[in-house]
Amino acid sequence: MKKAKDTDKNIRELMQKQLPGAPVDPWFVKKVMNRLPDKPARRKKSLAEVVCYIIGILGIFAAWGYSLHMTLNQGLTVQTVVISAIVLLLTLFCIGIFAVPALRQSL
Amino acid sequence: MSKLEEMKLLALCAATDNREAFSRLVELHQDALRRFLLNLTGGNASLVDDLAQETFLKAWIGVRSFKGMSGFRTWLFRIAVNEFVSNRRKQAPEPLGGEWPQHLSEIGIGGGQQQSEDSLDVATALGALPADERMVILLFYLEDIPIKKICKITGMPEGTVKSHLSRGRTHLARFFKNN
Repeated sequence: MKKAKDTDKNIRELMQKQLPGAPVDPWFVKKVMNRLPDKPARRKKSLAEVVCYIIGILGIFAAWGYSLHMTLNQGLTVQTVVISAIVLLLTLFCIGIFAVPALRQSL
Repeated sequence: MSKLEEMKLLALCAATDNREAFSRLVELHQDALRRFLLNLTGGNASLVDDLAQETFLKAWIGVRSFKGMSGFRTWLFRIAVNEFVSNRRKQAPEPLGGEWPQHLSEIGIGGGQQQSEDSLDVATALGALPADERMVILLFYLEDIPIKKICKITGMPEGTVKSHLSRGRTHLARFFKNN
């Protein structure tokens, strides 16, 4: 066992000392980076898509407006808390599904 | 660079296509990768350049599929081995051992005649091995990669890797004894 380990150690030292390393190439990184594919062009949104986004955003604002209106009129009741929670979840859901990928694509 | 810093760079590449982060990864790993390919291909510097560039290109394209189960270096070497094997399938086999003297001078080996001759001896001995054995020997002894990671890089079972190591060791010992 010890002999095998010594042999391994000797071979390792021999190779690491005597096998050639890659020749220095200061342009290698640049060559690689030049070969990377171009960033994909941003897909143009259709009119229908834009209209849907606007309706969605207006809907979220309307929902918050309704929730705020109910809370101001009725005070803090179970009903107003539940409605606010639903509107909050809906807002977070829309941010997660639509806003984050759009932001990521624009970076 | 620590593993954590490397993971941060990979996360930047995967999440935001950050090219500067990727260029730092290339800088970090290019020496070891090119050295491994140089010795694997028998000193063919132009082929090494092509294979190394293709490896990094494929790494960039596939960076989102890198799960981090093995290290990035292991994954990179796996891509490099696949590139080497694909290239070998396309081309006719070359007498690798015979190319070393020319390639050594091309790549500027030499702090004197004796060092060139010693390098040639080791490189020639390596060139005489079958490609699979040479690959395993280089990964184990030159790159200091443990057997389990060699299995992931080459796709060979552990028994096969150990068998190649044992045979390679025997061939190298016989070569040095005869020469």
